[in-house]
Amino acid sequence: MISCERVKLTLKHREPDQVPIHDSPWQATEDRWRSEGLPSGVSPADYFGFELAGFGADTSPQFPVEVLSEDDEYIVERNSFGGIRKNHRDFSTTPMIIDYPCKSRKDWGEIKPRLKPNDYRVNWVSDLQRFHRERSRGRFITYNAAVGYDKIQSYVASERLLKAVIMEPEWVKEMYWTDAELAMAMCDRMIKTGFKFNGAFLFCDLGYRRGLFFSPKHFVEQLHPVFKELCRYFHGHGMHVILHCCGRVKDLIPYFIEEGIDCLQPLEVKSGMDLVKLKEEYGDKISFMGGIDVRLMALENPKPLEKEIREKVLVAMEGGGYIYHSDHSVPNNVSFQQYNRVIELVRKYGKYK
Amino acid sequence: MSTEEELLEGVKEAVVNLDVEGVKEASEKALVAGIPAYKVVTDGMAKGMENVGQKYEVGEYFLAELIMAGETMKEGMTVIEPHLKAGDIRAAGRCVIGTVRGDLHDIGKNVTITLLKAANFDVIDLGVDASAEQFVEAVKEHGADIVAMSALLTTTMIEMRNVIEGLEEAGLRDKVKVIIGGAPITREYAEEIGADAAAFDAVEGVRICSEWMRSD
Repeated sequence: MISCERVKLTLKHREPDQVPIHDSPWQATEDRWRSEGLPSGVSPADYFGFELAGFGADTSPQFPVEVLSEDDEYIVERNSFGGIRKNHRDFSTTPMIIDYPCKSRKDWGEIKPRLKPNDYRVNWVSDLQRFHRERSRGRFITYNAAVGYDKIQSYVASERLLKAVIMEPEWVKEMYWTDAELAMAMCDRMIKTGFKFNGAFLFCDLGYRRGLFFSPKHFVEQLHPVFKELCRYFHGHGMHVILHCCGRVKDLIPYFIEEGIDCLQPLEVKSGMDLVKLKEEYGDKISFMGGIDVRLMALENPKPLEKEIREKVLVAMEGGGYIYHSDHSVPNNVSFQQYNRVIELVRKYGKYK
Repeated sequence: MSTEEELLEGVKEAVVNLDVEGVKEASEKALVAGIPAYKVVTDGMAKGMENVGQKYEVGEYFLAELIMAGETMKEGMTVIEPHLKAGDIRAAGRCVIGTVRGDLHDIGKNVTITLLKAANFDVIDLGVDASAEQFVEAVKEHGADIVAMSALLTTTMIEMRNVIEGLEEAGLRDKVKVIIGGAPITREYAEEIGADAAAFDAVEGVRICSEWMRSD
C-alpha cells in the first residue's frame, strides 16, 4: 500500500496495513544524526519513510529579508513580516522576536494591502519538481499554512495580541480573515498550476502547558468561523484537514470537530494531551497524529519508550484514525540509534492484522 | 457618600473586570475621598489581582485575562504613583528572573514578571539567553531574595543546573530561593538539580515566591 492511500484510509477511520509514520526532527537533530550514521544526501524523511510531504506559499507581506547581524552562534534578521528576529544559526529553536511590525491597528492598515495573492509567493519551478517527485513516491501531499492566532503572532507581539483578543476583537477578526483568505487564494493558484493536494496541514498553536491562551468564548467568536470556512474550502477541493495545535487544547476539540478538522496534531504529553483518553472520547469523530512523549526518546533506559509506544499505538490505531508522530518535534538530544528504535517499535506495534 | 470599603471594592472590581478606564476612575475617587495611596494599591488593586489569579486557577480566566489584568493594574498605577511617598509600600521581595542560556523564549517569563510586579516584587529581568554568570552577578549586585529561571526546551533546561552550581560556587546559594518554570519542567527535575521549587505556571510561581517572602 502506498503512503497516500494509507494516510487517506486512516483519516477516513478505516484500517490500512500499518499505522502511517511522520515526524519533525529539528535541523540540529538531523545534523547530529549525520554524524551518527544517517547517510549523507538522504533526508530523515526518506530514510525513515515519513509519509507526508508538505508544500506552501509565502503568505507574509513579503518585506525584503535583511540580515542585520550575525556571529558564530546567532543570526539577527528582519524577516518577510517586517519584524526583527534572533535565532540560533542552526535554527535549533523557535526564534526570539525582537521587534514586531504591528504595534497598533494603524500599523496593520499599512501591512494589509500587501496581503494579496501574487505569483511571487511560490517557488514554482523547484516546488513543482519536488511535488512531482513526492507524488511519484506515493506520499500524501499537503498544502501547509500557518493560520489564525499563531500566524498573527508574526505581526503582533503575543502579549499585545492577547490584549487585543479582549479589547479589540474586530481588529483581531479582520487579521484572521485577511490571512485566511490569502492562504485559500494561494492554494487556488497552486492547484490551478498543477499541484494536487491530498490534504491541508494548518498550523495554529492555541495553548500552552497549563491551558488555552484565551477562552473558548473568544475562540468561538473570533477564530471558529475562520476555521469553519477554511475546512469548507479545503473539503471542497477533496482535501483532508490536519490541524497542528500545540498545548493543552482539549477543550477546543468539540469545536474543531464541528469545524470539520479531520485530524489533530501533535498532542503534547507535557500539556496533558493523553492520546489514549482522547481516542476513547473523540476517536470516532476526529483522527489523531502524535502523542508519543519525545522526552522518553532521549532516555538511556529503553523500557519507558517501548511501553509508551506499545500502550498508546495499540489503542490509538484501532479502527484507523491514528498517524504516528512525536508529541511535537524531535530535539537534538535524541540519538540516531534511539530514533531508529522508535520507528522499529512503531512499525512493530503499528501493524494491522 | 461611599464608605472606604466600598471605594476600595470599586478599585478591586475594576481590576477583576479588566476595566482599564474604570480602574483609573475608581482610584481617583478613592484618593479624593482621602484614602492613602498605598492602601488603594494594597487593599484595592492587589486584592483585585489576587482575585484574578484565583479565577485563572479555577479556569474562569485564561492567559489573555491575566495579561489584561496586569495592564489594568499598570493603568491604575499611573493615577496612584504620583501620590505614593517613598517607603509607603515595602517591596515583597527582590527577584532576579531570566530565560536560561541557549533559550530565546520569553512569553512565560514576561507573564511571570507582570504578575510578580503586581504582587509588589522588585524584578530584575535578565531577558533571554541569560548565562549562569549573569544570574550570579545579578544576585550579587541587587541582593536578590529569589532567582527565577525559565526554559521552554528539554535541551536548554539543563542550563538551570549550571546556574545553581554557579550560585553555590559564589557562596550565594543559601542566600536565595531558586524557582524554575517552563514547559518541560517538573518537580522531580527541580529536586534533581537542587532548585527549591518548580512552578506549573506563572500564577503558581508568584504564589510560591510570595509565600517564601511572607515566611521569611
